[in-house]
Parts: sequence; structure tokens; C-alpha cells
Amino acid sequence: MRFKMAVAIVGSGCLVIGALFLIRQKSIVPSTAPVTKTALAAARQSDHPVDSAPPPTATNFAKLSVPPEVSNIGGVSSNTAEITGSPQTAPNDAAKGRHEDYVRRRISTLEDLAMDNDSSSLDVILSELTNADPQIRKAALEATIQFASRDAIPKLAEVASQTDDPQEKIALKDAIEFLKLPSLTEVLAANKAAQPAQPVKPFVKAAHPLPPAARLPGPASQ
Amino acid sequence: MKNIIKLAMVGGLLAASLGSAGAQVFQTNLVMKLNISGTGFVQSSDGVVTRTRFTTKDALNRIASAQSITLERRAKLIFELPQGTSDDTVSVGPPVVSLQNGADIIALGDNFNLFQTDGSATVSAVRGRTETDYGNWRVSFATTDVSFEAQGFATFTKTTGSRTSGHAKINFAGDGSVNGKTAVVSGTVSTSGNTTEAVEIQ
Repeated sequence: MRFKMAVAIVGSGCLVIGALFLIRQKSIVPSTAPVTKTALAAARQSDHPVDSAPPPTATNFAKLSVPPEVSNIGGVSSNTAEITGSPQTAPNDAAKGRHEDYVRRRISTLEDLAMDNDSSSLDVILSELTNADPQIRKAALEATIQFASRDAIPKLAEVASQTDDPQEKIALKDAIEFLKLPSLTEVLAANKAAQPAQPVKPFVKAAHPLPPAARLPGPASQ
Repeated sequence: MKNIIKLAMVGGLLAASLGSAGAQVFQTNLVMKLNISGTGFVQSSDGVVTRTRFTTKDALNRIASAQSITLERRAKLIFELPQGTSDDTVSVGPPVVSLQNGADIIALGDNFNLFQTDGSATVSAVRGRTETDYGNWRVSFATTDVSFEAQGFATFTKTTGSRTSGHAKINFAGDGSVNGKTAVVSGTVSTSGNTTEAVEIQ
């Protein structure tokens, strides 16, 4: 009886392991399909967030700004055709999807850079003000505002003078006017700096508000 | 007899664990980065108004000062917007603004809140996998030296798919004080993100 039970347990265990093995094999199959270079680049980019990447230098700004995949929004590369082998629309969708992914990642990176305080981060943000993608340009402008440095004003003015889009021109000029204002932190710091002089006043005046009767007799009255 | 006792104990433990598992309720939140920017008009003295700008960095500095904490590099504000609970009978909690400071996530209930204006309506438009909600939201900010209450038109857009993503924008106007001086503020809160989290609420 016990032997039969043991055989049944071992048998069912083997079946479960076999089923799991089959399921795993099935799930592996799609990943063996050829992968485009751009998809690999995107995967690499997502594996290395900005925090872990080396600080950008003047030479690698160009790489950071507009990767080649941007210019391939509607294009069909030979690699993508190889993957899908489906009608014309599918590669277009794939390229569009890749581009959307890229835009999302780039916007996220710009949002992170906006929270930095170093000039190299600002340089990367400003370089994206002229990106070919309007969403990235918009995110770069928002990141410039959030970075909150007046150092961005000359570049904003330069881009504003070059852009043909009237709405973008207005947005850039508004950003310039915004950055010209004193920041809340600056206003509070200025108030704080002005405050140390104030405590002296009540100390000096403290002798006067007292009624003459309450004052101690001075040496002259003695 | 011994076997029966053992079986009863195992059954009891199983029932207890199932019972405790059943009592757990999880809430799914859409976690988004939050940015704020705007202009303050401060009555600095009689007949004199000082204009000042504020951004997320200013808000972070005020919050850090109020809570006596040191901000890590790339500290940021996040907005957790509830999407639903694992138990239909349990309603979702309020949205929460938090400070992500390094590995720490600090809920800012005392300093910064975003919530729908009491009794106000929301209208929704659904197009494919994208839902857009329009309504009126309140923005409440309170720290030691800066505070304001504001409200305004809000747009929340959520796209469901392999990964849920969302973004929102609240254009607000209101009043408060800066360093004890009366101020009128106007600005924008914007959020965006595609991270989903499940938190145990019961």
C-alpha cells in the first residue's frame, strides 16, 4: 500500500516537472527570434539608468541627444522585416512602438536630470531643446524650468530665435521670464539674511517703552 | 488516533493560514513622478508686491526644512494614485504625495496633498485603452514658512495595456503665506509615470 502511494507521488512529481519544463520551453521560443540592433541598444539603455552611467562629457552630448532610431519612426529596416515577416503595417507599428519607448525613456531621463544641480545635467537638458521629437522638446523645456537655473536663459533665447513654431516660441519666452524671477528659496534666504539685524532693534528700544517711573534712576538724577 | 490528531492539526493550520490570507487586502497604485511650478505674488509691504517663482526644488527644500531631513541627490516627489483594491467591498484610499529621498519614501500628508475638491464632479472620456478624467482638484501645501491652499482644473489620463501608464495636470490658483506675508499663487502640478505598486491596506 505504502509502496503504491510512493510510486503515485513520484509519478505525479515527474509529470509536474515535465509540464513545467514544457511550459518553460514554450516561453523561451520567442526570445530566440533575431533582435534588431536598435532594440538591443534600447535594452542596453534601459539596463543602465543615468545614475549608473558615467557623467556626460562635452563629447558624448551628441550621442545623448538624438539617436539614429528617431529618424526611423516610420521606416522599415531589413531587420524588423526579418523578425515579423508580416504585412507592411506590422513593421511600421514595431518601429513606432520602439520610438514611443525611446521617447518615454528620454523624458524620464530628462525629469531625473532636472532634479540635479550640476551644469553638465543642465547642458544635456538644453541640448534636447532642439530634438527632432516635439514631445522630447516639450519635456526638455519643462526640465529646464524645473532645473531652475538662470544659466539656461541664453540657450532658451537662442532656441526661441531659431524656432518657427509660434507656440514653442511663446513657451520658450515664458520660460525665460519665469527664470528671471527670484526663486522662492532666494526670497526666503534674502528675508532670513535681512532678519539678523532686526533683533538688535527691540533690544535697543527696550529701554524706551518702559514708563519713566519704571526706569531706574540714572547717575544724573542722583 | 495519533494520525487523526496530526491531520486535525495540519487542517487547522491550513485553515488558519487561508483565513489570514483571505483577510489581506491589497491596493494597486499608479506611481508617478510629480512636478510643481508656479508664481507667487507676495505682499512684501503696503502697496508692494514681490513676484517669486517656485518649482519642485523649492517645494523639496521647504519640506526638507520642515521635516529636518537632508535631501539626497535626485530626491523627488512622487504621487501614488489608487487604482483599485483586491477586495471589491473595500474602497480605495486617498491619493498620496510622497518624498522619495534616496531609498526612503516619506508620505507627505502633513505637507503636501492633492485631492479632488469636495462634492465636485468628474467626467470621463474613454477611447480604446485610454481613459481621461476631467475634474477639479485641490492642492494643499504647508511648511514652516510657506503654505497655500489652491484648486483648479485637473486632467488625468490613464492608458492600460501591458503596462499601465498615466499622466495628470492640475492648473491651480489660490492663496496662502510666504514667511508670514500674504501671498497669491498660481501654477501647475504635473505628474507622469508607468510604475504600478501593490500595497497591503488591511
